[in-house]
Amino acid sequence: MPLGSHRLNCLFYNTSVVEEAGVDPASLNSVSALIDAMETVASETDAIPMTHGASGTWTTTQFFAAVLLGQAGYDEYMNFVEGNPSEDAVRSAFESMATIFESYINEDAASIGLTESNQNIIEGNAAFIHQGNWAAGAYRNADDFAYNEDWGFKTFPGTEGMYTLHFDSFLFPSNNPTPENTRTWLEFVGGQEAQIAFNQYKGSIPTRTDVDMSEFGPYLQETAEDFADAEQRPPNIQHGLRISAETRSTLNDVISSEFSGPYNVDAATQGFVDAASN
Amino acid sequence: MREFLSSVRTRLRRVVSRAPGDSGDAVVTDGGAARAAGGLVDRLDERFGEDFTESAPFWLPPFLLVGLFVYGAIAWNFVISLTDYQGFIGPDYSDLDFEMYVRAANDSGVIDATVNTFLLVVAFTAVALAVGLVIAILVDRNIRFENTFRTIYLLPMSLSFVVTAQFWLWMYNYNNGVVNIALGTFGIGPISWIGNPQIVLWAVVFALVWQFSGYTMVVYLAGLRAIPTEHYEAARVDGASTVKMYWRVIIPQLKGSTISAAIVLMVFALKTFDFLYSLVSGYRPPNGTDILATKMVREAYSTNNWAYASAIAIILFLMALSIIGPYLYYQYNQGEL
Repeated sequence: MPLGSHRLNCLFYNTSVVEEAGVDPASLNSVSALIDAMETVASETDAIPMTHGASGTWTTTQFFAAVLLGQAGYDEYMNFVEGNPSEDAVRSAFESMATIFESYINEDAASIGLTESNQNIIEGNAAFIHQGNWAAGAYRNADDFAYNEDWGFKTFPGTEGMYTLHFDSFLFPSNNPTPENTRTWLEFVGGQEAQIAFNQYKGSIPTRTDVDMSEFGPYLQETAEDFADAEQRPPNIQHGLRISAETRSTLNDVISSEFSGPYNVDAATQGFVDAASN
Repeated sequence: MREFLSSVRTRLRRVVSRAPGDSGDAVVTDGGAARAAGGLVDRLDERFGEDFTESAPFWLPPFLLVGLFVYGAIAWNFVISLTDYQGFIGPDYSDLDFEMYVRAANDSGVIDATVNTFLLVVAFTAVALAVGLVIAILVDRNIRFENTFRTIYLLPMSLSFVVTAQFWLWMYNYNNGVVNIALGTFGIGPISWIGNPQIVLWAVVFALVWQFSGYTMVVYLAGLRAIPTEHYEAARVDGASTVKMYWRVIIPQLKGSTISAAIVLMVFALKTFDFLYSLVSGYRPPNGTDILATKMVREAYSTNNWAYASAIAIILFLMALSIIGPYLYYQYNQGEL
């Protein structure tokens, strides 16, 4: 029973840094436009164009999914997830990532994780960050950091009209000593009351589309509309939808050994294609 | 106490011997007394001595507990590693084979982890012993505030690995970590300690040596203090310089301390899991520092490959045995076991 959903194809930005660089995030409709925008930020300001917390490899795998979706489109992404990856699509995704990682991210990426990376946006040291929308929770909790005034959201360039799925769910186990109790609990979880109470604090949106969104902030209300209106809803890779734990672990192994320091596009492409095809 | 134990022993003997009720002695024609047909307690007494059964109420309960929770658990782990257990479906004990070990031998991740474990253990032990020895020699020379220095050097050991990992992570930060700033004052450019897979293992070894050289210092200090002053004086009289005196006369006498400290350090090195896990707050340590312990935990709890992780655990167990085994054998030969 799905309880809440986070969205993964997000690009968050710090409005003052982006204005100082003269970049308009709303116009970024492709990954190459994003890379050009990062170049502009690098040359016009002192800020880091994109902040990335590479500690633990999961952020990089997640970023790969967004870049693949943005560059190659929904059909190629679904091919990858279902086990028929196109080597060209994977390779060009890694080439874009290598360009970004080699020139446009913070130098201490290897030592920091999500929290410190997010801090860079809140403090105005960086322009863009790609993350799931749980990162917005940190922005909501920061003092004096309001949506659309200090920070903004854009669907990841190239993925407009799509909502990359992530679900928090409760399961009904098959070997269950108390099936009636589980059923009662799952009915509660699927009801409006539970979905509002839980998602309000977690920063995700309810999976029911008929929930009253007035208690959620402006950013989440927008997200819920996007969820209902999205044309395509691709499942995410890093957080457990659609690929097995074994494959995900292998993908992360490839990132750790080939794409964490020196960025080896060929080896990473080969590793991902092999892992996804099995 | 002795009466209580004797009465327990007599009761036990009556219970387990084949002739309940008799005192255990029968008269034979040559005037001597023969034991009754041997019960369990009697046989144990003959084999191990009476102290063995008399003290059984003391050593038997912990023996059973350790046997179940430690050795039994290890045996069960070995059995699981022979199955194909993964995911949520329970282990199937009917189909046992060594498939997981073959897979481990062919897995480049496991081979890298083994190499890293070996490098970590050797480098950490050697450097910690050397640094501890140097500090012990310096502290031993009747300096002022000797106790203060000893405490300062020993304090890092009181920190938990989690705390150490966190602040070394901050210190190794490329942009604003203390280490790079200190090197910057000498003009040496910022070095990516965690991001560079060639250096990160040595950065971890350095942090661990910082934490444990206090322990080796204490061990060596005790060893140094045990050497009679006459040796120092005799070396001086014979005209040895300080360095030669230490190198030729004193250090060879520290063999016992070195071996015991080395064993303890090697076992600590195999437990570096805490440090590496806290370094990334996750199951996957930085590229270049994956050791068998982290690989094992990741396979078990992140990928749910229980049988594979059990096989890696047995490999790690054999590695630890290969360190402790020779030491125990050496101690046994010395008669100290």
